[in-house]
Amino acid sequence: MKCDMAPETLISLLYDELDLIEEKKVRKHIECCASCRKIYQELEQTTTLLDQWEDETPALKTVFLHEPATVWQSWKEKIRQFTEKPLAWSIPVAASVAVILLFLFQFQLKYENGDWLVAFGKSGSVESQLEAKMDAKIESTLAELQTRNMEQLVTLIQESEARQRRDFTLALNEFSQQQEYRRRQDLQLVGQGLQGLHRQTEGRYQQTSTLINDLIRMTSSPDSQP
Amino acid sequence: MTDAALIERFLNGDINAFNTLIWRWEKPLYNFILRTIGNREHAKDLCQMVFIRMYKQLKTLKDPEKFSSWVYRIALNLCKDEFKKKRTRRTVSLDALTSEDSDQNTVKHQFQDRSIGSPEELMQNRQVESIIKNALKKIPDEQRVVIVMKQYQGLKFTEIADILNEPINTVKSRLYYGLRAMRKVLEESNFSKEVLLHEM
Repeated sequence: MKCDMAPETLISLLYDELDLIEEKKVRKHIECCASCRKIYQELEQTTTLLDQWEDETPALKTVFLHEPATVWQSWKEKIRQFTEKPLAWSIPVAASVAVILLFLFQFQLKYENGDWLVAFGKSGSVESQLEAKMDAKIESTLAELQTRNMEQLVTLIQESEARQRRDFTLALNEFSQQQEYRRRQDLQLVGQGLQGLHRQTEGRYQQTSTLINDLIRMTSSPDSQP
Repeated sequence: MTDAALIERFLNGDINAFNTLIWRWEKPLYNFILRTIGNREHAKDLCQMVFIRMYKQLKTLKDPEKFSSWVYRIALNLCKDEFKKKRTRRTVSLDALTSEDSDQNTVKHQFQDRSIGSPEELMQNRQVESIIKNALKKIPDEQRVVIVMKQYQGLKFTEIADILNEPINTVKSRLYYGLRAMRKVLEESNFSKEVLLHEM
């Protein structure tokens, strides 16, 4: 070829495997380019000639019969069909492997009081886990009860103290009132005593005064000399 | 019913589905092999070998939609084995080469042996087929395969590229040079110009 047209393009045009735009472009080029036109025509002639060799009918009469499968073959076929469907076998195989592993590791699973218990091996049996869980629960309940008791105790102590304080205050007030009353009574008694004493003293003073006066009088009157 | 559906039925144990599949593919495969190797008896044998391989290996086909490419690949591999055998025969014995040549005839011999009249007579007697067959034998195997796949089997370039595992441009290039070589061989066989021009 003397021009830039690639042989592949001519071949694509020959077998109608170019898009419309490309085909138009190439056909236009072929109209203008004598060498490409010649090659294209030769290719067309060759393919037209090749078409003269028509298809033959072989009449092979090949028929495949169903071969009765042996036991081994039928099992092999079943295994093949099974393994060809990855999802069909992967799930059960994975499940079986999981079950075997769980068995080997002595896996235990138990549902108890709303909780799932999982245990592996001999040491960590579900029962022991359950016991541990129960112990933990009891401990937590005890701790909670203790806390509550302490709180209640503190409240009681506080209330008792408050009551004691109140009672003490009341008793103190009563005592002070009693003391006041007694003091007043004492003062009254003291007052009465003093008044009595005063009256006695006054009487005696008057008697003394009277006696003294009488004595003075007697002493001062001559008639009164012995 | 599509090939893929037949394959599925066969894989589920329906042997009749496989027979339907081979009846459907018998003609295209036989003609593909015949044009590729150029011998009817061998083509029949190879065609049956393709079916046996199909029967044995169909379960390994991952995508039934690609059955066409897959089956052509099987046929092509068998043809390639046949090419190798032929080459061995040629290199081992000169007698064999002679006998093969005499059995199958070259284009030149055909023209000499047969009384060729007009191109119309040639066509009527299926001698054109014989000439084409012999011309195809004279071009390189890889070019012949591409010509057969495109010209006779009507495969797309992408399909051929997939079967041969080659780039599309390589396929196109082989086809181009193959057709050019065919023309040259036909011209050399004193057949071309009159017949070719007549064909046009």
